[in-house]
Amino acid sequence: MLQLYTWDPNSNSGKPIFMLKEKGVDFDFHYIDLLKFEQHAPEYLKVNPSGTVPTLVHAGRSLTESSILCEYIDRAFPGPSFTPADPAQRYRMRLWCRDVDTKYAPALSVLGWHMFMGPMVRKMDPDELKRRIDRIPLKERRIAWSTAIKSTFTEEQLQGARDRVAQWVRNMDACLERTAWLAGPTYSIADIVTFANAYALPVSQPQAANRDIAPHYWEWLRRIYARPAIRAAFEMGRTPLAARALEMIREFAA
Amino acid sequence: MLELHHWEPAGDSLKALVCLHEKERAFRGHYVDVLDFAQFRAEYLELAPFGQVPVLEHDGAILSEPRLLLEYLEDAFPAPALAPADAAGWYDAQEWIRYADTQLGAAVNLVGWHQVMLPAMSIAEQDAFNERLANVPVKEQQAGWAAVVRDAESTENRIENAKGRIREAVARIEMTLATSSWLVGEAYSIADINAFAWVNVLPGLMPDGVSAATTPGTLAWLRRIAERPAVRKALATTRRAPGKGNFPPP
Repeated sequence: MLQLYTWDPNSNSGKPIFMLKEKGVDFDFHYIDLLKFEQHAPEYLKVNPSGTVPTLVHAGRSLTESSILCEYIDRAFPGPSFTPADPAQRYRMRLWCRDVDTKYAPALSVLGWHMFMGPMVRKMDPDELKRRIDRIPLKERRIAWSTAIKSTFTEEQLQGARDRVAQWVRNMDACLERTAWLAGPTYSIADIVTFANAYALPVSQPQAANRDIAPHYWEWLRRIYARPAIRAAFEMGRTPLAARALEMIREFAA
Repeated sequence: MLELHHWEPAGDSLKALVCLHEKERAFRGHYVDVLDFAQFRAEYLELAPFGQVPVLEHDGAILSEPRLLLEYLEDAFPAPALAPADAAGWYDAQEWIRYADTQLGAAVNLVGWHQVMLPAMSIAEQDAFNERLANVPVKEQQAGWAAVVRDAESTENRIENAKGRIREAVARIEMTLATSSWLVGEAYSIADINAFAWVNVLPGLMPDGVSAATTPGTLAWLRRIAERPAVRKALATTRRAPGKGNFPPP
């Protein structure tokens, strides 16, 4: 049986949940609560020494890179394919995924940290916090956490992140005006990976992501929210993020 | 129609050149002189909005993300195969490409620029170059956490940190090659081509990091790859004098 260790159906954690639900593949779901820092706990580090989510354990191997993990799932299991046959469309699929991973998800995490995580961790006992940061295995993540805790983001950094998200929505909207889905005429991993990060923008960044500014993006969201696999994935969530997404499904359907 | 806009046979340009030769594809090459800022000329920016090099044009499609080109070439020209066909092998090839590019790309170029390229310039040449660099019309801003980490790092020694990242990656490569001739599975693949493009300069750049004494497996692997006709053909396209170095500005 397939073992999936992950958090809510959100961002990197969500990609394999959406993907497995779309493929119709059963899996054992191990919930790793990021809000309780369970990804750095010794038990989880035995599964993935880097302390990142998700981890998929299949055929004796642990796979942890969330975007290429989607290609793995698509190739390893029967069911509908979410990889276009045309090489140029595949390239575009990977380009959307790469841009999400290197440009847009990092901008969203700055905004998310500023609004939720930052205030939450600053309320924690400093010694407890230090202990938790010290056990983060990846040096880069340790630096990021320490820096983000010590200093709040400047208004310039926050505005930079908001501008980048707005640019992303414009790019998606322009692309979706030309083709039905991000990589071309078929629904693909590009849509799944992008949606995993962009599904909540109408709530979190309403000035950049609304029906008037981005009508094609809006219709794309509606079509994805209507997919049974997407609903099934959000039903596995335990945070208010997932509850809000289920509300969005009802609102879009109405 | 197949055209490649490339710089020297180094880094991302080398990967594309090697792969096209391995696939025995005839293509038209256009040399983009990165040291003369040719990648920021208006007509080039039509192809690559951030001045990316290399760029591939193939039957009307413009492929301007250098770090996705090897996967594209494998999809577009499946024979001869340069990647495993099974799901796990393909994942491993992609994972090695992401890892080597992230861990080595910027680090190798940073060390090479400071250790080889800058010392070869006079102070006046360095000043003139830096002034042109500051006036580049497009700059990709670092996003979010990447910027946070970068800012934190800039207070430490960036070159030392880059060398640390290089040593980590070389250790992983050496460990992999201890039990296998190639990075993925039992055959030469795009993962090897990709890593070779960063690692082949290291015996010269960091002799304490890659050498017969410290990393024999990596050195033998470099030699096996360098002997391949496609690789020799790609490396021979250099326009710079031997020993001058071909690292782009970081």
